Amino acid sequence: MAISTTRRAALAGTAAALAVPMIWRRADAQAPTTVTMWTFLDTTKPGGRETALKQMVDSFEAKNPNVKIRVEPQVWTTLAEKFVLGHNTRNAPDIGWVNAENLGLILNTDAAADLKPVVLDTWSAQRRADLAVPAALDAVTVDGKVLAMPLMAITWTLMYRRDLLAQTGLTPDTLKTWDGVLEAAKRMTKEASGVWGLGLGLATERFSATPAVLATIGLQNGIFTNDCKPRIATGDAERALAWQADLITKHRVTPREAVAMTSDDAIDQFAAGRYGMMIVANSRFEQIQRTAAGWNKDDLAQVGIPGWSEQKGGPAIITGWFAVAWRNSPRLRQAAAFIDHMTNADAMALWQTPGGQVPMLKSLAADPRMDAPANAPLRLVANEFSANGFMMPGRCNWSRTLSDFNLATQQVVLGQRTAPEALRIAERATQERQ
Amino acid sequence: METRRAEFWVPYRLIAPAVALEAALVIGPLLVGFWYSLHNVRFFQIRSFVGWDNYVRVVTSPEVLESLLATTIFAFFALILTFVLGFALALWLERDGRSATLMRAVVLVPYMIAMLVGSMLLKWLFSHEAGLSQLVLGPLGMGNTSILANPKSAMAALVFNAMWRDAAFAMIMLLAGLKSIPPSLHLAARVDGADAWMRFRRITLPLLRIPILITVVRLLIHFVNILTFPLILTGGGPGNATEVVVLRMFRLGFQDHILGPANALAILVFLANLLLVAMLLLLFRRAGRL
Repeated sequence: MAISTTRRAALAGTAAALAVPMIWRRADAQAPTTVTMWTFLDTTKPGGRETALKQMVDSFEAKNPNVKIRVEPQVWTTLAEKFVLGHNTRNAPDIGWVNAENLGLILNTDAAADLKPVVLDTWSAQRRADLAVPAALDAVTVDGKVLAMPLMAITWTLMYRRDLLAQTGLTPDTLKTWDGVLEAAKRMTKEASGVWGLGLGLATERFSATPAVLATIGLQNGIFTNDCKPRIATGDAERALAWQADLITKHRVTPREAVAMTSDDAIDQFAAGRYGMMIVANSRFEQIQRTAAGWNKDDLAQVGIPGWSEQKGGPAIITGWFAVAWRNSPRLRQAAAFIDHMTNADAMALWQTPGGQVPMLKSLAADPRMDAPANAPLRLVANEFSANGFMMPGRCNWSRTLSDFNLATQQVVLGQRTAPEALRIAERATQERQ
Repeated sequence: METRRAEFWVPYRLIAPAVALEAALVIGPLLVGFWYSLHNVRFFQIRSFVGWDNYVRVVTSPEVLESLLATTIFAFFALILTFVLGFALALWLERDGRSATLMRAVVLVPYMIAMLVGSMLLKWLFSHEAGLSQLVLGPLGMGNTSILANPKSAMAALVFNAMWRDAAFAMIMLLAGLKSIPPSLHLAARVDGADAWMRFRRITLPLLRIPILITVVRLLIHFVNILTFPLILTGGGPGNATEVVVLRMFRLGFQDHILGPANALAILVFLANLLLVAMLLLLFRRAGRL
């Protein structure tokens, strides 16, 4: 009897021991899954995009009570490299944000999951057809795999001051061509009073797109071959580079100090009223208005990138932000669901208002509310995307090609190299990064 | 016997934490860097073994050779001017007194400011469009001079940045040396009729030999490995005129993500540093102190 009791106790103990992990596991299954996302937005802070993302997270969590989204803000310039390094050390977040310039880092490694089966294939034909910038999806498709999803698009525009342009007697239509821009810049420049026609930031740190890059792309319809060989040491690029260098050396419509200025320095100078025109990312429009000093902020206007002829406008390079899912994520299904959520019609409407982003869906662009004067800057960019939208091939690493053009311009302005030599160096530098 | 054996291991146990820390933070990364330098690393992922190709690529690169020249020019002028200014300040402020103490504190201010902040301040000072350079240079008839937009003056600005910040370091090192010279030696020399120059040449300089050596080699190593000044003040420009070798390395690795050549260059810079340290030891030996 004693033996039987002991055996029974042992059996009960064993059963209990076996049951504990099962109960534990069951409880674990009911615990919410946390999806980690690296982005440059901090949802605890005010701001249009931050508010939009916060609302998306809230609505997703309300629909999926077992999934929590943890937003981890990161420095935007290093998001892509951190994601790849995280993948290498098997410690990447479930979702990462990557800017268009750094897509090459993602598309040339095995860090990103294929979102086609888990996101894109679930879309209706109507939803696909509604995409305003389908080229953005094409650029991130590698061997049939869709490795990122576009969230918001940005481009560069030519911003100018209406008051200064009016004083020249020219109209905004003049700014459709590079020759017209030069003419306007000449008339706007008053060196004695410290006002220059066209602002440029040509430093190799903190750089942005300049006329030389955009004019080259406009002339030869890109700066890469399909297999990512750079096409920079070309006659077209020489023409564009010479045009840019002449702004400083020959026409004196841009200060020589531009060779030492970052794009941020130049934007500050533009806001301070020192330049009549400047090529700036459209997302900076509101910032320049806010910081305008010594001139009326309502005089700030923008047009699309000029072309070499009135018939063909310059390229509206599509940059912006993409969401990537980590291929080794244990929560890939939930991560993909949230990426899908950030790109659906409701989310795209949020990116636009309160996010202040260019509409990424045709239906949003066609909305009558877009005709409101306050939305004019976004309307212009949306029109530019549809008329002159240009996406760099996603696999080609162009993260510092803009800087290569800046160095080439510096070398020509300083008389260190001829334009062909400087462009050969720029081409080699870009090639080495592929 | 047991006690002896235990005693034998005591020094090793004492230095073990330092050795472990050194291995983890210096030797480990160095070996990883060397491993990377032998491979083709694209987009942070090792693709293939390339042997010494990255080293060949680095030493034959025109950009690297240009950066070596920029490093030499910068280190040469920065070293001489910083040392001379630091020495002059040390001699000037050697005597104790209220004004000397105040001046020492003033001279130390640039050294107390973070390198990055100091270089940012100077950048705005030298900026033609937005800075104070017009105010300073205008009355001298150089109002249109753009310091940072000219390769030569940009290099001069970089040297000024180094001198402005690190002269205080040289001053501290040399002041410590000056304070260690017994005043009785100078008194005795004065009694013997030696003038100030004689006392400086025959007493101060010989007794400052070691502090001078330490200061010079320490400054040289610092200037050869400088990154913050050119990165913030000139960005390596204009036209790569101030792109020193460490900035080139930084760009290759952290901006271009070309990790193979970047690590090869890092290893070469490390060897150059070892050479400088060897120089230091040799100079010490010649000075008869080791």
